Amino acid sequence: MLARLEQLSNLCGVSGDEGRVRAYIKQALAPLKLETHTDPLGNLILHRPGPGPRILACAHMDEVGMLVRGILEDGTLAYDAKGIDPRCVVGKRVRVGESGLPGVIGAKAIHMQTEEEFASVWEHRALYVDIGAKDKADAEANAAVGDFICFDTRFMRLGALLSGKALDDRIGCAILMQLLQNTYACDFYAAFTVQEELGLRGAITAAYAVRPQLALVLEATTANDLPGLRPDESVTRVGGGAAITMMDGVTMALPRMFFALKAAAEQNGIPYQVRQGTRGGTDGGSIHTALAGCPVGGISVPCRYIHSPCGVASGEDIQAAYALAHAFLKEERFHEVLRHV
Amino acid sequence: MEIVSRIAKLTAAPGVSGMEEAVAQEIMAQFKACTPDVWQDVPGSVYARLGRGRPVVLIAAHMDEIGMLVTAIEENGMLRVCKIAGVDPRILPGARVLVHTAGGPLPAVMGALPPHLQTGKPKAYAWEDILCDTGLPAPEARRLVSVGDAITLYPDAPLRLLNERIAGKTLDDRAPLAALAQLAEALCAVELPCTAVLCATVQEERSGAGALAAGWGAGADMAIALDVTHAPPPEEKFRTFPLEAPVLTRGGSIHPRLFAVLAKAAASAGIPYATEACMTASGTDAWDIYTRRAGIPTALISVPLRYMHTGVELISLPTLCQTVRLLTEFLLHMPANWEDELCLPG
Repeated sequence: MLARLEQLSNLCGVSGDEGRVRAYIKQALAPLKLETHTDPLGNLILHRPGPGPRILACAHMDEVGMLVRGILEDGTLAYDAKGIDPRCVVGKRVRVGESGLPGVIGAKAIHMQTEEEFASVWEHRALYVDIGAKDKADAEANAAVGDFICFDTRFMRLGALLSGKALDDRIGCAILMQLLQNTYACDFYAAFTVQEELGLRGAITAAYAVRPQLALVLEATTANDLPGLRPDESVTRVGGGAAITMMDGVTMALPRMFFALKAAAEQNGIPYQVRQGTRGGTDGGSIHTALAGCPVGGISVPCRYIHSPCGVASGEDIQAAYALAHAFLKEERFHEVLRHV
Repeated sequence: MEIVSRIAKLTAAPGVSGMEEAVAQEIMAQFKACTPDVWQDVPGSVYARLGRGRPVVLIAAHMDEIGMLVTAIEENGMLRVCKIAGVDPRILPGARVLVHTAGGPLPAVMGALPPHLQTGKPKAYAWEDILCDTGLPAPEARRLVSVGDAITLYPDAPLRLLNERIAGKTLDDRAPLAALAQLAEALCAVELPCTAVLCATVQEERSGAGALAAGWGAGADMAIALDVTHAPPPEEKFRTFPLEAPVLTRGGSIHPRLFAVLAKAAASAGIPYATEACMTASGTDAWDIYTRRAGIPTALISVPLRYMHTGVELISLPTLCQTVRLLTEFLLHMPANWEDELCLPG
C-alpha cells in the first residue's frame, strides 16, 4: 500500500486533470477484473457485487494545483491557484502542462526587497512560473493558457514518517485500492473521485451513479501538531492513529456512524483519534446530501503541511486508517448504522 | 567534465558559511584533476595554481552557501532554527532540507506555525514561525541531532529549463565555482604567460574571512572575484541585468584600470558583457581582497542570476561558459606591460 502511495504521490493530477492518476489506478486494479466505469466528470467507479447494502467508499484523485492564466511579455507564466497558500510556493519546482515541462516559482531576491516588501505576503497574482523562456513567443511555443501546473516534489521517507506532494488524497486512493483487494458482505462500490478540491464536485455525480445507502470517505486531513499551538488547534496529530470525523465544515456525522467507527477502532485495538476541527470539507459533504440523504463516515489520515509542495504523514496512521475501514466493512458494522434508517 | 556535472556535484555538497569542508573536498578533487598544485589555507579556502611567473592573478569564487543552524529541539522533536546569512524565511514553508548531523545528513521538511489559524489576513512568515520537521520521534531527534548542526536546502540536481537555463539551490556561488573548475581545465592545456591562482573561498556570505586570507596569502598582483548578480524578473532598472551576458562591475570598490583591461579582453574576444555600477560594497569577495596588503587591484565579474537566495536560483549556461572564455582570454593575452596598464593616473 505504501509503495503504491509513493507512485500515486509522484503523479501529476491537479483538479480537472486527473487522467494520469485514473490511468494508474485503473491499470493497477485491472487484475481484479471488477466492473469498472469512468463517468463524464472523470470519476473512476469500481463495483464488487455482494450481498447486503450498497456501500460506497471514496477517495479523491485530484490534488491542489495551479493553472496558466496568461503568458507575460518576459516569457514567464501568470497563474491561478486553488487551495494553495501563496506563502508556500516561492522557491519551489513545478511541472507545466501535458509534457510536464519543468519550471520554478521565484521571487524578488531578499537583497532587493524594501522593508515593506519583506514584511508582506507574496500573493499568487504577483508570482509567476519561470520555464526559462526568452520572451512571450518562446513561452507560447512551449506552454499555453489553461495548462495545468503541478508541484514537482518526489516522495521520500522522512525519519519515521513519509513526505511528498498530493498526500491529500493519494493516501485515500492507496487505502481504497487496498480495500478493493478484499471481499465484504455488502454491495461494494469504490469511487476514485475528481475535483474534490474545487468544491467536492466529483462526489456529486459519483453518489448519483452509485446510489449508496452508506458511504465511507477516506481522506488526508490537517495536522497542526506543531509546538506552541493550543492542543485544540492541532485538528489531528501525526502518529496518533486514524482520525474519525465528527464534524467538519460541511458535514455532521450521524452519531451512530461516528460511534460505529469508534467502536470498530476500540474493539480491534486500532489507534484512532477524533478529528477536532470543525472546518474544511471532504467528499462526504456532497454525499450526505445526495439523493434522499446518506450516512457518511469519515476516516482520515493526519497530514502536516497539507496543500503545500511537501506534506508529511505517518505510514502507521495510514495502516490504521486502512485497518479501521476494513474492520468496519468486514464486521458489517454498517448494519449498526443502517438499522435505524 | 561537463559544466552541469560540475555544478551538480558542487551543489550536492553542503557548505553553509563556516562549515565548507564537504564542498571544499569536492572542489579540491576537481582542481586536482587539472594540477597537482592544490592546497587549502587556514580558514579552509581551496587553491589551485596554474602557469608561472608574474603577474600572479587571483581568481576567487566563494564556495559557502546560505543556510540555517539548529538552535533548539522542541518537545515533540521538531527543530528550531536560525539563519546563516541572507535567508528569506518566506521561501521555507513546504521546502525540503537536509540536516547535517554528526551521523550524516537527515532529510527534513520545513514547516510553519499558522500564526492565525482561523481569522485575519495571512501574515508573512517570520523566523519565529519556522520549524524543521525531521519526522523523527522526539527521543530519536534528540539522539541524532545537535544544536548547532547545519541545515541546507535539499540538494536536488539542477533542473534543466528551456534555452540552456538551469535552476536549483546554491547556484550562488557554485555555478561560478564550477566555472572556476572549468577554467582550471582550460588553463592546464595551454602555456600561460602569467600565474593564475584559483581560489574557492569560505565565508563570503558572512565575514569575508576567506577572501581576506586569500588576499593576504596568495601573493596576488591583481584579483578577480567571480560571483552572481541579479537578473530580472522582477525588472529593477539599473539593478538587474539580462541572463544572456556576463556583467563587469565599475565603481568605487573596483579597480578602474583592471576593469578596463578586462573590458578590452572581452571586446577583443567578441564576448558581449553588461556593465553594473556599484557605488560602495559589491557584497562580494572583491570588496575584501582589494584592501589586503598594500592594495590589490581587484575587479568583479558576475553571472546574472534570478531569484537569489532561494532554492530555484536560475542562470544561463552559455553565459557561465562565456565567463570561462573571458577569463581564459584575459589570462592568455596578459599584456607584457601589465604594471603600466594597472597604474593609476595622477
